[in-house]
Amino acid sequence: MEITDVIGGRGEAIAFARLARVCRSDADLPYFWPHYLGEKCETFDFLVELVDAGEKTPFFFVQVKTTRKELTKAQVPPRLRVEVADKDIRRMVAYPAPTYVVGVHESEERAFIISIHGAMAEAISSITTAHELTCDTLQRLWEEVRAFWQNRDMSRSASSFLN
Amino acid sequence: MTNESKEHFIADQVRALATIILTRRGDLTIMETKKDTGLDFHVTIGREDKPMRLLFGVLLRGVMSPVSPDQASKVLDPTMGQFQGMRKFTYPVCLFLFTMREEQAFFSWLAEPIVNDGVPKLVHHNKANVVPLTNDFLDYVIQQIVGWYDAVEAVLIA
Repeated sequence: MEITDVIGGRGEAIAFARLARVCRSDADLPYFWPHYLGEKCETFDFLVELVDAGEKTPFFFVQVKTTRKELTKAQVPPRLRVEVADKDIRRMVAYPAPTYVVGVHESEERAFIISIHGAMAEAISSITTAHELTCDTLQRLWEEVRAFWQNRDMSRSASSFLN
Repeated sequence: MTNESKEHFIADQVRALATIILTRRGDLTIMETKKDTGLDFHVTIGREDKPMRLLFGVLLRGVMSPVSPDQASKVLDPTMGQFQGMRKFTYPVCLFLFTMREEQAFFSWLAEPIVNDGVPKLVHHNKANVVPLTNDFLDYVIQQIVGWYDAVEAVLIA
């Protein structure tokens, strides 16, 4: 097993646990339920379902990037030194669903999220720590993703493959 | 979220929390278990100087609400009962309990490795004896397991 596999596995567990935290004030429920996509999925690590968001379940995709490197010191807020390849960025924005990168600081067990959307196409060399996966961030993320799906009627009324 | 979904969710979150705690040490490798073992993880302790593979089993449980250690013991008693009358474990097995909201972590032995006068035994408990699972306590547990395997090695290998 390579050292990067060990860090990655731990990073995914940290990202999972931070996304799935149970911290809602109105119910004993999480905001999100992540599902591992497995090694064969090149671009994403998790499909994440919104919990308690209505009859249809909104979702988004997450790629997890993990590091043991120190946060940058020159910027405010400091930045997490993880890289996302331009190829991955282009693949992510091509998905017709919300897509995010979760950066994990492995030794501090902290996770930070950024959105990948719109015309983004360049590689990323670090991500901001402004959006740490705290309870407040989880609530804002839940609202953002729910709003994305609320504005789209994705229900299907016909198919060629009737039973 | 249905009750069944909630149980699946708790099982997933508990696996993530257990992985985080176990991988804080650099010398543990976590493996998924086969379903018929009744356990969630098999964990090996990396010791290249040892002739035997140092393995222990982990059973995971989770509850939504915070609990005291005494309450945690009561929560785990049905789980402990499930293993009574089953085939005994031949390697150390422990139980982790997590609470979802506070992310408390508790520990109890199912098959505790004991060494008495150099003789290794695996004591199969039928009641939970829960203690908080901290990094220091995990270090102590790993030492206890390594010490037990040392005693087994001395008895088994001529």
